[in-house]
Amino acid sequence: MNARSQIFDLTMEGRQVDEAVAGIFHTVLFHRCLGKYMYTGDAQYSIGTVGYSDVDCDFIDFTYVCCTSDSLTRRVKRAINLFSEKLRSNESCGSGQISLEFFQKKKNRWLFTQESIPWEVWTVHLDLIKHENEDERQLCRENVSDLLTEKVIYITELMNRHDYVPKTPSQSELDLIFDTSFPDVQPYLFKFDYSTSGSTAPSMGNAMKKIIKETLAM
Amino acid sequence: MSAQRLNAVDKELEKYIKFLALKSAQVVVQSRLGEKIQTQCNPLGGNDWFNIVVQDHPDVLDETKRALALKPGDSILQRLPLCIEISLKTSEGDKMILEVWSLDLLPVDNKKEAAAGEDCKGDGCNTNICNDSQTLKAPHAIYNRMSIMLKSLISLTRTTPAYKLSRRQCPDSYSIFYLIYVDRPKVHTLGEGHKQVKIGQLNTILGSLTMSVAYRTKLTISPTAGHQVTAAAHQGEQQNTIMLKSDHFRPASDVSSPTQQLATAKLGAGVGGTGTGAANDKRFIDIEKPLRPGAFTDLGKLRQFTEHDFVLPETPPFEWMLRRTRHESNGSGSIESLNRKCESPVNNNNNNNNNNNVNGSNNNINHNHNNNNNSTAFKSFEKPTVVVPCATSPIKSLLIPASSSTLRHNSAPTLQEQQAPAQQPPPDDDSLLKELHFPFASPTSHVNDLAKFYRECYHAPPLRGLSELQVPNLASCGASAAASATAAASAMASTAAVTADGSMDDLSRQLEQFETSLEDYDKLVSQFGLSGSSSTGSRSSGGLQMSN
Repeated sequence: MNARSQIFDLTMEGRQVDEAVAGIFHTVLFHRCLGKYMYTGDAQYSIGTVGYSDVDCDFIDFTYVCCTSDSLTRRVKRAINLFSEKLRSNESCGSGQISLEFFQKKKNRWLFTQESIPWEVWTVHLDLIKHENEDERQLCRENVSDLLTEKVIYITELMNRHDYVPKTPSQSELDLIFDTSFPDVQPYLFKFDYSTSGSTAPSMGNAMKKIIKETLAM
Repeated sequence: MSAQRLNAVDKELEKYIKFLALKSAQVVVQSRLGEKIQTQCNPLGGNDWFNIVVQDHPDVLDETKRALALKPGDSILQRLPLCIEISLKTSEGDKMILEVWSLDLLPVDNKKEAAAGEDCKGDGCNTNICNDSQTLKAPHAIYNRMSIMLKSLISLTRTTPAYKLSRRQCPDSYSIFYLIYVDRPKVHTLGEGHKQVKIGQLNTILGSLTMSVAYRTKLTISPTAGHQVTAAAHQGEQQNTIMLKSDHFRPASDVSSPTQQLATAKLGAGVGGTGTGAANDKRFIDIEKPLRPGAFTDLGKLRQFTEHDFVLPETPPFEWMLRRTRHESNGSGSIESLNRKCESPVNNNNNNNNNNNVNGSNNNINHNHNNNNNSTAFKSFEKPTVVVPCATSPIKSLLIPASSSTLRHNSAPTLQEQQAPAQQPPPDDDSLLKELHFPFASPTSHVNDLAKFYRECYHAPPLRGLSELQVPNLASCGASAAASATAAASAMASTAAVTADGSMDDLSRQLEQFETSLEDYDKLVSQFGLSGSSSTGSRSSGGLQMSN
């Protein structure tokens, strides 16, 4: 199971995390979003068009482009928020990573659950720092902006390689490749995954406790 | 090549390339308009090329078409590379090229070389990986690739320095311009250290389609302009002008209080002036002017005392003129002492010297009164009246004629010297006198207003405590009148004409005078802007008590 994997290492302030991660992920998703497929016949379909929006960051001197899709934006934001809150919480030791994983599904076989095969993973590894004074903060604001610029250039470079992307399937199998849940855009199937060091172990314990409690309750 | 172009696929490909060129120009130019862009998705399938909603700006479209200059039947392949140049022009007229976006089609033969650099980057782990040198043939695949290329272009246009500049542009500082031309990109105009980014490369049967951008990293305008102009540097420049302004006003801000300012100004004038002192002197000369005697007014009389006055090197230039004039016109040098509190020892010396001078020229006193008093209120002072020894009414302390004050000095010189700090500041009627006889002041001139204001400021009623202090002092001086008078006489060799009796005479005459001219005082007080008629009344009653 091989997937292309890119890791971006970033160091920044806690409040910049959301925007930095959103900037990277939205740039990726913008490239990985197609217009909605509208099937007119079994093999015939028309493709919708994708609008784009400029997004100005508040905490970074940076503007990125994302698809004009509220539902997509919400989903990305929710995932990043969960991660960012964990990362910035008191339990966290200030580093963690979040990844955007593109996958395709395999058809159901027998009773087994659907298998997801990732084909491209974008990971942002973050280390939080705190600044002592406003000068440092300003400097960091510019640094993070430069870093993100670099990352966006790198992303576009990768996107224009003739790398593997799943082929457009027939209508019946469209859901195995694309996320058709969005009304306005059709991105490749994707999911978010995150981990923050320092919080993984307790959360595992909590999860186990929760399972046991639920079982007992039943 | 021409044979290939007959092929329908080729034709279609040319069309794709043409629209990619048109859309690229739109994307680049629109991103530099300085506004945020938002285009809406159209899931029902719009007619937008490459499935991206890029609205066409008619001007840009015309400009691109004009640059491409495609006639019907012409191939776009001959019209590439297409360049979009973004430049900055400041309000001063300085121009700087920021970036050049280009779409080029490399001949088929070169494409492998061009793609060679990319081959080594095949770090993707998918077995289905396509080689970069692979030439795409299927139109739909090329179309999709172009779509991704255009998306990359949209993303990248937001990352170069020119984007930030364009968002901050305003006609007052600088504007962003675009130029679309068909030529090799003129990267040499981007200065040293410019960056080149390849947005994407697409190998087709027609050639290798390359989209790239070269942008300036050193955002400083060419040295011929004389100074740096980037967005940042431009702001810096603006700050510079502000800095100049703040320098310009610094002398005023350095000096905190008006009195300090006056003191500094005077000091600057007196000592010959440090840099700031001179500046302050210039600044305050408007205030000082109306209060100074005219340069030629009393020159004839002043000559009599030149020798004495030349003994005082520490006084500011022409101060001797002020002093002399004041004494002759019965002024008491009040402004001097107000403005130069720090120089009280010098003042004391001056007083002594001036006392000598006045004593020497005692005969002139009355005559000078007539010369210098233009105000009716003061004219009445000059009538000689009843002698009241050592009487100092509050009014006297307010409007004391110089003759009485100098005489007081004469009557008890030692006492006066000790009490000098307590009794300062002496009355300020001088400023009024000066204003009135100021030679170049016309009644309507603004200088009068200034002088009036100045007078009002300094003519605040004296503290009751102070005037009460003076009474016992002077009473005691009256008790030991003879002794002090002899002391004064012995101390001053030139005071032959002045005796203690004479001074008492003078004082009482003045008191009488005060009483008889109460109305004039009232008038004067109202002229000073003192509102309380009650205070005037109390003063007059005080005067009556004294006379009794």
